[in-house]
Amino acid sequence: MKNMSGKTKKVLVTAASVIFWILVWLLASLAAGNSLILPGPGETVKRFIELAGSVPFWKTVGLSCLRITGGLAAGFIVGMPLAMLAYAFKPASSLITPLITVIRAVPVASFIILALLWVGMDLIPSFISFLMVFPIVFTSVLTGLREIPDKHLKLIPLFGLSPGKALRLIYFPSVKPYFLSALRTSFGFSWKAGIAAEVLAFTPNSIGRHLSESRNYLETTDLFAWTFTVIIISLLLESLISLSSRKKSKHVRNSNDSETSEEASA
Amino acid sequence: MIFAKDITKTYGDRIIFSSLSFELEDGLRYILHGPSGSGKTTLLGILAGTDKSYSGRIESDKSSVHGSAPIASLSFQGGNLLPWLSALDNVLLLDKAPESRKKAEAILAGLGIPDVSKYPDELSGGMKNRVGIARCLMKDAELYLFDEPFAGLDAKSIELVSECIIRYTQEKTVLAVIHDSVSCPRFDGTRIAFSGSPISSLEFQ
Repeated sequence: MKNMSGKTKKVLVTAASVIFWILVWLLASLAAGNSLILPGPGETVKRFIELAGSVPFWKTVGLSCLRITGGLAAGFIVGMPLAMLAYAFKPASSLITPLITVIRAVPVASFIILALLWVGMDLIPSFISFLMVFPIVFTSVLTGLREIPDKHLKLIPLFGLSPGKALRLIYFPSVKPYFLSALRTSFGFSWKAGIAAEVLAFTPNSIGRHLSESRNYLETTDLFAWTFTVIIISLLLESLISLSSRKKSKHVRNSNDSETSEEASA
Repeated sequence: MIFAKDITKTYGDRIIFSSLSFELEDGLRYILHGPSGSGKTTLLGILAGTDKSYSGRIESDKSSVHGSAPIASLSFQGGNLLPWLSALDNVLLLDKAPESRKKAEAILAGLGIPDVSKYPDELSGGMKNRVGIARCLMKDAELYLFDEPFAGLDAKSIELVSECIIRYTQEKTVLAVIHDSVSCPRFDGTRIAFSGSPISSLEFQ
């Protein structure tokens, strides 16, 4: 019961602060008195519902998601094996690390503009999303591998574990927390950078293009409604990841917590 | 017989073993004493084959291939369990065949672990150590190595654990590192102490 009320309280506090900021938004829009400059929450949600009722909206959202998650997946597909290679062979690590440092240091905007010269318009958001995700995945997985305690690695020769078993019982579980944190960070980064790429590249059938067009035609309410869409998708993705990661790491991390909370409620 | 020939091991500038040679006879139990930090765990690692950064040779005359290392099993200090596996799954690291499962459950019961489904972070230090001993006993080896198997145990548990080790290592060679302060009359054997600085021989008492 004590736990429940604590949770409810937290939800109430969150809801109250969300309502507070919506009120601030409402007052600011009233003060501005012009929806071209600052549309209010009511207009934005109304426009969002209008948009959400049309088929092209869902096509646009779907395509943007597909492009960006495609780049994200590519980041994982390339980043993970390279991290393993760098872990196994020191020269590979020395070779890849400077590349990672450069990718991290270059501003996203520079990459987007360069990508306009290098790759097709349709591919730019995926390419940018890939560039955001690849260094995160590489660094996290490599760190995870390097942090495996030596004493755990000693079990492999001692008990004659096959490579498959060593991967399944020692390497994967050790790297999993690092992998999940990379996934969590990557989603946020790639989503935002991907949308920015769509804006600058004016990618057809994309959320970014709609953002760009609504600015061009001074349809500020549309701009807000599309931004609202981006936020909602971000939140959905984030909760999806934290849900799945919580389920997976239940055993190791929460076993102590559950014990103490049981004791507390007993 | 197990032969250690000309073992030299260094940690940075520090020489731990210098041309150390000794023999262990089949089926005997050896108890290694020595001050902490003297290299007892290092010696176990070398004998177990988990530490390869030394010069010299560890050989067994039992193996059909001349001069090959003995098949050894090792119980680490503190258990060295994998936190994402239950006690039983840690013990079944080698294989999960039904007969292995039966053996593992028997050993764990003999060691006084009632709930084998618990995870390492739900177990006390003494329990973790015992699960590590169980995993060590699961491997069919000619040389069994135990690093502080009785650490953190009360007299009654020491009795239980030593009985279990004795039962599952019959006719095998056993080398255990046991702290001087631990008294365990049942777990007797040839006492070994390091001699020389750096260590160049073993004293058998």
